[in-house]
Amino acid sequence: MSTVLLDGTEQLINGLMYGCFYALIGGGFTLLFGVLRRFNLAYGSTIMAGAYAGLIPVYLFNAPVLVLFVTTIVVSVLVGLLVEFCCFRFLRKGHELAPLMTTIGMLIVIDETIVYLTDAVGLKYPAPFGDESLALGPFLIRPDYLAILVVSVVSFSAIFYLLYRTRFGRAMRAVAERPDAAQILGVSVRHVNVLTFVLTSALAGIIGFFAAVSVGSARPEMAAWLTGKGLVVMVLGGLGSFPGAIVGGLALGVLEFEAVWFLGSSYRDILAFAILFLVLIVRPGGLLGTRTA
Amino acid sequence: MLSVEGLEARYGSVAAVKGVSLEVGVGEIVGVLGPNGAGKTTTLLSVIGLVRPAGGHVRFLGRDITGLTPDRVAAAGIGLVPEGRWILASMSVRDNLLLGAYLRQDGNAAVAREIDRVCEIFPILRERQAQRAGTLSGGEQQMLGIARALMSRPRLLMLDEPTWGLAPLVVEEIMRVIKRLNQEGTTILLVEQNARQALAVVQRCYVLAVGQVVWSGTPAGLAREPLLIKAYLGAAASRIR
Repeated sequence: MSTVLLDGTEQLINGLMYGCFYALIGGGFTLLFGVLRRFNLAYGSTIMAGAYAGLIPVYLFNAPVLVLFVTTIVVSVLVGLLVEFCCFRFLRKGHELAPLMTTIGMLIVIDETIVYLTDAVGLKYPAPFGDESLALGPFLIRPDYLAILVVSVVSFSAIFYLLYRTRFGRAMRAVAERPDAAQILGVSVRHVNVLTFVLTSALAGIIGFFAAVSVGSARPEMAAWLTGKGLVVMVLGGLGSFPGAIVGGLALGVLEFEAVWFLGSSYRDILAFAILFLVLIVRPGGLLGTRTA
Repeated sequence: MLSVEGLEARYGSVAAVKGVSLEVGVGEIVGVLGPNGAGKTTTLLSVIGLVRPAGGHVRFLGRDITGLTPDRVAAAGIGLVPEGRWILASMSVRDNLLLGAYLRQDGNAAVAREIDRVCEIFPILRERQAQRAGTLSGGEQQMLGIARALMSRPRLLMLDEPTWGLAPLVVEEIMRVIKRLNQEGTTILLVEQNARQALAVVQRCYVLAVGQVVWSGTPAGLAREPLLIKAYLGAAASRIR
């Protein structure tokens, strides 16, 4: 096999694995947008807050990674509930754009708090999956990417089960499609909204953990980077389409990794937005989108 | 059972309902008639809680439910089949029915029996269960809307224009079902523009115009009011006898 093909395939595998990570971010944005029909721009900050908070037990008690992981999720859920309470709960019906303002405000508050507390210095993150690449036949694979793959598959399966096999999932889908119809059948929209925040924020905790692990540190730039990728994946897949977020995430992962290999790593971040630009022109509804936005 | 007193509702600065009072007794089937824009739909939406009343009271089974959120009104025992049916088009027929049973706490077996029961009333739904609800015909969607509302076994069923835009045969079937449901013990509040159809099944009726009750009484009494019929109920009702 030629080197180009070999390298291309290796990047494809890595891209797919890292694409799972993008899919998780896009999935979190999408789930919330799908149910509430409102953007939560503080989602990236929620992720970052969890990632930073997870380090507290590690720095204080030298706690094991499992504790870090659980802390990340718990704190993300708490921050998510704070975002719901401050930025969404008291907004009146019909003010769909108001959360853009409130959540940007929250994003700034969270980011600046973290910058203030840490002097904007990145904090080293443990590497629970080791530094050694695994050999899979002729290909080298990063172990943390493999962990991302496994966790993503588990998370997505759990979310699909929840959405399509449970009473609460039915209520969520109903609220996403027609809140008034759901309400007259006895579904409390507030209840569903809060639980959607809990669900997506728990996902944010998982994302935060793997974001910091794959970079090796928790950094204040994380929030902007995560928000950017999340919105690109969300629009790429089709606003509000959960399967679309998965496809969009995987596509972005693969394209980025191939671009890094063939064009150089400086093209990596510009590529995401170039793709977004292209998709918006050619297929404004997104890859799997049905709704015209 | 349901008593609406001096209900007022507005959209912005436009008053849609200006002091409507009406009563529905246990086991009754009551009609609300009137032209477009009379405030019929707004009255129903205020009762269910989707429109917040600007004044007046709504009492149900002795309890003041004015201003409660729709999920709590539904939990109190009021089912609504809204105008335009509000089917969850992307979900399966079965999921729509299961959502109708969202508030039920009595277990999957009871819900399965309930699905069986509503499929007996509307046999077409049985074979369509796995189908996406959006692919149903208009008449089938209306049947699904009614069946879905029945899943929670409401004490009071409110129907808003259930025959609007349907083929004559389907209209007949829907009206037959409404009558049957009432005979089996469900109290019904029926809003219709199609006065002739409604008057054939209701025991009492209210005529609404520009947000107020302009007449109430029995269908037989309404038949003796040619001016009222001509002014508010239009050509469709002109053959009422």
